[in-house]
Amino acid sequence: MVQFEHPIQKVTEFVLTEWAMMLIEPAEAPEETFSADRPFLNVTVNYQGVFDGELTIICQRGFVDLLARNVLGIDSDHPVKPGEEWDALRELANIVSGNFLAEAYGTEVVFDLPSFKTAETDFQGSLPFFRSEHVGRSTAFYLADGEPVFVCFDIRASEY
Amino acid sequence: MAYNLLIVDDSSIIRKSLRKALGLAEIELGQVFEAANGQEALDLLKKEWVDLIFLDINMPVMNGMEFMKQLRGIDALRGMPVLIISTEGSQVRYAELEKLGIKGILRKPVRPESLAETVQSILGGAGNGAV
Repeated sequence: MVQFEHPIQKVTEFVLTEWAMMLIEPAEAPEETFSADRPFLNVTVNYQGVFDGELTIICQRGFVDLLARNVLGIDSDHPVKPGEEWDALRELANIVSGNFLAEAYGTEVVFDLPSFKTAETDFQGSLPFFRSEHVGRSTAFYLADGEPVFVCFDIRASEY
Repeated sequence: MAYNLLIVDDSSIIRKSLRKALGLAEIELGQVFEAANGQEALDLLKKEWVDLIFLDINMPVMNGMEFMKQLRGIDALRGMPVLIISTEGSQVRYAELEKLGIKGILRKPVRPESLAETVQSILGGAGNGAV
């Protein structure tokens, strides 16, 4: 039986395999695994409820392209339409967040997910996510179909 | 009998993937309409009859909860079946939705076979499907 260090890992694995239909393997050292010279894409979901916080997913184009193709059933001969990659990434964040909050905090509490923010950044812009070690934080890092994807769950500093 | 369906979700990816999954259900599909939020769905329902609505909860402009309240306030649409498809996991929200007469809840990620089974069970009996 697999023992998950944190529900964020259990949920991320579940969503990437069940919804995105990706083969995943745990990875380490995101600073060395991502391609530092390629753009980074990230999506952040703010949630509000019995406590507030945010969940961020960081990846690169190779991952979102595969994600959109898998979810839409588009083969490699056809391009993914503009905007569909970001839409797929937002929806991934939505599904991971919703399942994570229920898994970690139960179904008796209510959370709102009022806003999703997407951004394209670079290696330097992603480093704070990889390096932060404050108390209310947990991470999951995988290779999904060979492409790195980093998930970071953060309770607001004032809440823990 | 062919059934008209309405998918209400702000994600075009989800609307497209639900469309594909519905192809697996052993029901005859009529028109499959799409709306990106509750307001668009209400506007569409003024012009088109559907036999089942697939509804997300977290959406901009008008969310699923508000849409349900408004739908149940319109005499002609009061009995229209609604299936929630959402990441929502709160029993408190589920209870509110059940009071508003939803037919069921499927949590994302939804397996195509679960969707097909649920749709068949909802539409399997009576329906107001377009011919």
